[in-house]
Amino acid sequence: MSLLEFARGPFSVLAEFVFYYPLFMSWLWMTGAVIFYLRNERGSALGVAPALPDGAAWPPVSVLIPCFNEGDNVRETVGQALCLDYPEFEVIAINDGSADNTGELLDELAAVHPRLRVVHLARNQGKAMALQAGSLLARHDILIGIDGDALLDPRAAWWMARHFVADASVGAVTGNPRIRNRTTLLGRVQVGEFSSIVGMIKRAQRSFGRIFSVSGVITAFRRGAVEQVGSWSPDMLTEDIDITWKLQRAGWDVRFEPHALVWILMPETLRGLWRQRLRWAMGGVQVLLRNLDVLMRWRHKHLWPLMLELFVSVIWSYALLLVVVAGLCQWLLSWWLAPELAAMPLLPAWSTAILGATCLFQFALSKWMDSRYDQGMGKNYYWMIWYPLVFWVISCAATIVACPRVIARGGGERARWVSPDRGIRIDEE
Amino acid sequence: MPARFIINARHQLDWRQRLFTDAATAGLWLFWLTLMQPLTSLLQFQVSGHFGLAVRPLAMNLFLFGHKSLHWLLALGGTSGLLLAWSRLPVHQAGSLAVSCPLQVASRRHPVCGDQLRQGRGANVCVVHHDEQGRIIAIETRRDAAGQRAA
Repeated sequence: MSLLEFARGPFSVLAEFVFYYPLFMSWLWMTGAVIFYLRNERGSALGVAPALPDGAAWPPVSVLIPCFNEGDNVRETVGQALCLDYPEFEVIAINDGSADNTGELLDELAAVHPRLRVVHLARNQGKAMALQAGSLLARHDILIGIDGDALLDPRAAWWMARHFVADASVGAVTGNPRIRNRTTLLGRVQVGEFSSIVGMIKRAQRSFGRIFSVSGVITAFRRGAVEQVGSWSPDMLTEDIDITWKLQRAGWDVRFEPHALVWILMPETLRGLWRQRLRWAMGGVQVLLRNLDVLMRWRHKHLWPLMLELFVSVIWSYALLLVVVAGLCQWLLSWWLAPELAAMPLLPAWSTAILGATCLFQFALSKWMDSRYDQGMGKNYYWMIWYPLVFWVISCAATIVACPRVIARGGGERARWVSPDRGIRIDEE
Repeated sequence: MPARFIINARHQLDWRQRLFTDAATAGLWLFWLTLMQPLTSLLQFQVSGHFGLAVRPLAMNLFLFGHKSLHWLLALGGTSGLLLAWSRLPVHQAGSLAVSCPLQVASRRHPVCGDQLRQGRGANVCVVHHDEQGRIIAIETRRDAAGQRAA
């Protein structure tokens, strides 16, 4: 008996919604992603700097790197940022009250690298405040924010800065994060996830109008736009989602640039992954609650599809939980009353096969689009079979847990968090 | 793609962990492929004398599948078209998008004095102090742009 067939009466509509919503959204994302690819990526040369309009000059940029207890990563991150292939830039590392030797390491690096500047926050303030301080002290008006353990591609600045020159309404440009750590199963699956989910969704959202969130790990901002909307919010768990909505509400354009690469570390333990996804889910719910009013204002009409999708996704998570619980209860009841007739209603059947086939097709499509940025992705395709089983469950569970937590948290509390595990490193001993 | 950025320390994992992961993944693929079996039933044929009857279920299945697919394509195409058209609507902008002096705007939020801000911007190393509300109240420089230590 399929998932659809078992649910009768009041749950039949709910069960159909649980099945059809992710299926439909998957195909919608693929459609939008293909449109974006055909418009913006086909035929572009990755290793060549993009052209500017006639007479335009490359604007100087400030790379902001908030660091909190990044003693293990800061040398590599700052060193890579200083290798930026760009006419004029500075790197500002913001030591956010680290308890380890991050501050000392940054001071040592600043003594030998003239392009590096260091800002020490006297006490830990959180990423949003670190970015605010960096923005205030930066010498240039184009800010590129990356994480303290991220490795910026030398050509990333070319690809992001061109948008600000070409269009004065651009407030932010987000880049394309690639996963470095591929040791464990979790690491390998996340490689595919960032390509087939994050990258595909951003392409589709850009095609259809507005982006839900920039990637906090690599985004370029026009400083004037950020200051106009009140800068990064210190009470939001995901300052990247928040600043995206602030900018778009004010009419600024936020773009996705797949050629602007950054190499990042992701959790490779379930505990670390859960903590990260829970924070992301809580941040998404915070933004949902803070921006519900856009649905009442015609001037924010471009954000309605995003808001509706976010709202429906939250509903879907709870609906899935309800359907699963109801299905299990029905099976237990029928097994108790008439064991010879009981059939596990949640056993997958052809409907699940279609969902699975769609999933695998989405992964293949994203592999095709992203292979120019991340060679060897085909090998990870084999491990993506785990994605629906593990990541859907984690994302759904995170959303279910996030909603009541955010409501209980309220507003105004400073958002601080510690990055989860950074994956397994190669033991060089 | 810089290969040196990739971290693959699989050889450091315990062999039992690697074996379990590989075997579980292969098993999951087999299970997934068996789920495809209902889809292939659309193409079932019967041999020896039942070919006529077999064609009818096949044709009917294909018709139903095509009928549902058409609905699906219409929904997908319609939604995509609507979203594309929606994105072309005029954008409302809250006031002018040109911000003449973003630093003045930022400075108003933080009660730090202008001299300290200018010195901080010229320095290579500085320390920023915040109050309890998260506003910047002081900036002390440690090393200026010429690499000289602050007095």
